[in-house]
Amino acid sequence: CVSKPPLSQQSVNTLAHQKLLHQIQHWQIEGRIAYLEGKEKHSANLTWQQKKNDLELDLRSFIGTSVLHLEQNSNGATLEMDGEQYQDSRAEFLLYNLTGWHIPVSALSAWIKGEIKGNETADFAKQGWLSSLNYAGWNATFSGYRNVNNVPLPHNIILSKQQKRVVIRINQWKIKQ
Amino acid sequence: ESAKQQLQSKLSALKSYSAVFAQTVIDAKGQVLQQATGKIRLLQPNKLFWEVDEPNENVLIADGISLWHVDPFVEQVVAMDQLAAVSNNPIVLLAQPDSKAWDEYSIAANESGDKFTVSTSSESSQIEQLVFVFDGKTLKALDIIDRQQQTTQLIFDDIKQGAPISTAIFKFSLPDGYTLDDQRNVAAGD
Repeated sequence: CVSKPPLSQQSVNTLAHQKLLHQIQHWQIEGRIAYLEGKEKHSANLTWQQKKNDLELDLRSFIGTSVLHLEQNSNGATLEMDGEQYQDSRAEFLLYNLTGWHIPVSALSAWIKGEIKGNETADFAKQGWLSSLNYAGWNATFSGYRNVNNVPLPHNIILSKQQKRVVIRINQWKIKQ
Repeated sequence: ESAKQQLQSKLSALKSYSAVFAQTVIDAKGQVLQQATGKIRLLQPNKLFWEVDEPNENVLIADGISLWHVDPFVEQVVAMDQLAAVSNNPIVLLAQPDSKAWDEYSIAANESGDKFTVSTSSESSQIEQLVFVFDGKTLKALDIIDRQQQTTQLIFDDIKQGAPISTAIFKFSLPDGYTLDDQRNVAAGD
């Protein structure tokens, strides 16, 4: 079974680390995702593959059956769920319209690495990596940094906005370059 | 004897079933999405315990009346009526070889009679096909294919069939701190 690398003891130069993260353009994560809003709690197993701006996101039940499959590429976004297929320009809109899950998918494709895109207000841990950020009403915290291809990457990300919370626990990072 | 009768007799011969499993989830394009391990305990006529290990920890308990899905990641339990849950959770059928829910499924067997493909056409079912693989009397593997052509392969090991299983494992109690999302309409007490 997949065993996680130990927590990273290494500290980094923030700017150099951010640059390294930005160069990771082809990656895959496997783990758990939860969406919490008020009393509602949803949870699924997650696989997210990203290659530059193209993404494939799979949510599954713990038995393995597909909950939804979301893709975004240059010609738009498609979402497959319950045997139906839906199209829209942006993955966020599709996800929200069909599940009510409000997840900032495109921002998250950088944040999930612990990378800031530039206009967030960000705090960095004493080790130099990103520990939290604020942007457009979202607050995100990053922890569980472990070395993957000797780059420290976060394995626990929590996003919150008003009553909404998105909790992502990454079991495995794969860097594909 | 029809394929359905053959499968139902093989499943009812299980009486009780205990095993560990290795689970591999493969998407329609053949990419491995996830691997996990876990254990299954089954006691006919209608009791099932299904646990997936860390880091995908989840537990499913069918106590004969209700189905309890325990999800430690969000500290929540979802309760459903067992019978109602069968349509999108045919794993529960494993525990109920003589339930009439089987009528919804068409069953085909291979010549050697050790591989049974159970398919449903019902739109409501998220699962399209189950493939049971036996080695003689022993249930060795189970594939679950859903409507997005995603396949979960389960390979069983340390298999004990017919051995006594304590019913305590099928008794559900709400872990403290967990919330209960009770979706049962039959408010059956324990």
